[in-house]
Amino acid sequence: MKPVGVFLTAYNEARGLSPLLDAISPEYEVYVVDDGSMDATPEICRQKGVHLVRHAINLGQGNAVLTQFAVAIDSSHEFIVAMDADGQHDPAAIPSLLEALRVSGADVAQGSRVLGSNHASAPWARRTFLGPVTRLLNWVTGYRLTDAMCGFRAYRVSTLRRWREMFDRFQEPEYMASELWIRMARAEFRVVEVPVKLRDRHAGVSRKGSARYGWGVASAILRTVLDPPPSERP
Amino acid sequence: MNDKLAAILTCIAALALVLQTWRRFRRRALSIRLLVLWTAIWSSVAYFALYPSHLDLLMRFLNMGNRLFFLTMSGILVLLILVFRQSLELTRAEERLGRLTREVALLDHRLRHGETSSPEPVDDSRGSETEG
Repeated sequence: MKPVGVFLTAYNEARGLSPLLDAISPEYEVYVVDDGSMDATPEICRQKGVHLVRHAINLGQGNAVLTQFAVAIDSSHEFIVAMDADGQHDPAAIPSLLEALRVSGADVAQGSRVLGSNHASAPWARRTFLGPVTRLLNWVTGYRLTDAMCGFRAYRVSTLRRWREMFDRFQEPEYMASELWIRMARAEFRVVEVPVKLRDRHAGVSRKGSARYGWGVASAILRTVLDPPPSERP
Repeated sequence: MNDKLAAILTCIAALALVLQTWRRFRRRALSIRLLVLWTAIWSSVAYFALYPSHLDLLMRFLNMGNRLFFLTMSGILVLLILVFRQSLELTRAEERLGRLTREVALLDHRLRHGETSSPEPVDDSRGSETEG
């Protein structure tokens, strides 16, 4: 098994999945967590020979991320990289995330679109709400992130294994990012940020700029803060 | 006369609903807990339709004077309690469904790819997860 696993969470991403998978270096082991896609996403994964982990029904990205963690813990990878399958995350940035983990000894390398060079051209909703949400999470967690909501991250697998029993405690999988940061902060995970560029989605519209999503993030933060388990330290 | 007719019609409707509830239970579409709950609700409706003066005893106990207001507020309260319970059950069901779906996906992946457990020893005891 290769030392690095690259995990993509996908839901009906058949349109742009094939070129994305081709762009990922063959030195990495590639997994696609398919969240109950109704299009050709699973078939494309089988054709490309990547690992396909399939949800029988659509549960949302948060649950797909939890499955991703479970598969990573099961594996013998040293590091994993999590990215979206909608084409916004450039596989060329994977080495920089991994290098940041190796050099710094951190547990998580967070991709930051704000530190990346094209944040100014991001959609209005993201430019407007990303800052306040990130600042709120920084205030709650003590981290000094510039972009808490980017799903492009690398993790040290040994840290995830020590953390495994906390995955059952996730209460808001739909708003995974917020809860994940709070739980990682309580477990004192070390985080390093890496600039990443954002690309356009293959298709569709992000729902993360909607007021409903923003409300969900805020309520997930509040709920996690108000409901701390006795100890999150691995 | 109109009051009596209304009471009889209400009783008939309530009885029909009790029978419907029992039919659903026999078809395993309803749990015994819900059978008891809804039978009690429909029976109460029929009873107080036939004996509305018995409501007065309850109202005197609660120090309320307006029967219509009492019935309306009681009905709203019961409905809110039922909605709250359904919300809790729905949340639990969603959580279980999510967990089950993830487990199935993980097991399927293990079977197809022959993944082994992590090389590090894992403490599977749940003792450290006590809350509070």
